Amino acid sequence: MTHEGFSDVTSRALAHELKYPLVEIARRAELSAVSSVDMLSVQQSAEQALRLIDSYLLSAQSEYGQQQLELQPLTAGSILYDASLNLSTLQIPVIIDDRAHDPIMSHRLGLTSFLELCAKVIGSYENAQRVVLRSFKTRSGEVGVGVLSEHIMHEDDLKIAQSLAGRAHMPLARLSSNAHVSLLIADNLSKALGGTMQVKKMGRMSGFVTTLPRSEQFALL
Amino acid sequence: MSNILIIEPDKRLAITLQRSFEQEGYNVRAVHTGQAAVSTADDWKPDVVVCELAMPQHNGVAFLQEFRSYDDWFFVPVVVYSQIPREDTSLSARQWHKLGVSAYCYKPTTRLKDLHYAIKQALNFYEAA
Repeated sequence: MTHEGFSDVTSRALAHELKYPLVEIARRAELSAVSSVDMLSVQQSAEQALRLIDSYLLSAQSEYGQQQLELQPLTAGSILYDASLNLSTLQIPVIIDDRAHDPIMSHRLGLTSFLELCAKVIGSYENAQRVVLRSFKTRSGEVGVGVLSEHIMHEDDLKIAQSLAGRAHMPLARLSSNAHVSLLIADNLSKALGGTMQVKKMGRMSGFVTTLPRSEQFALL
Repeated sequence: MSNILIIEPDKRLAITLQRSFEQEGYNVRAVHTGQAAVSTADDWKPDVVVCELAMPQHNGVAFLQEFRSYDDWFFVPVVVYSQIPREDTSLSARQWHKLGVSAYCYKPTTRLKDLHYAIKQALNFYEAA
């Protein structure tokens, strides 16, 4: 188990505390959003911030062994659908492409958060026209999920995010300001789910993917 | 018109919730502690309680157990609206149901309109029972 330092405990405590004012902002904005488009935008920003915090807390819990993510049988399609519901604020279309129909063992919130974080990073690329949430099977029979687009991803983006963790403010300058931390959190979530985050090319598209552990029980069926 | 009792330690959020429910036509009272909730419910019977579990001086589950112990309030449904995710509590769905909780709403992902729906469902079920 990794030793949890004072700053890590403080960061998690701060993240918990930040949720309080953000909830107040989101709900107050929602009350006013009926008559104001600006308030709707404030509401959506606050809700996005809340989801980012929750994703971070989920990834931090499993990193320090305080709570292993409890895996349960799921369908990849339901995860893709759940993630798409939370991506309505992306300015580009979100397409669901469910190609793997096998049941998987995963954590619903963790995997949904992984997809949302990756989708927001890809959606922030200047010439991104759409994002595709895809489930797929690898040659070895494992199920994977990921977010793809026609934009050619840089494999360096993920490597840079991983190598500069905690050491640089905005290493991925061509992306949005929170792309770096989103990729770090997505990477941690992927590990917590028993997978490995990669940049992958699939046909004419590329993006961020993770594979999921096989379910031995379902393999027997 | 139905009566809603809000138990919410965050005073600003309590005001927002109160305004939101009053706009829907409910009679609303907001308190910030479990003790104040018990005092209020003594002379003003709520038809549904909206309750945060993370209270400063009172364990939310202990409050619900106490609330349920009074005959007058045994059948009053509770909608939990909390910063604590349900997965982080040690209670199962069945145990929450035994405490009279008709819906468990996680604050960061539950919008006001979802909360209104949960309250309507709780009231409909209570009236039908």
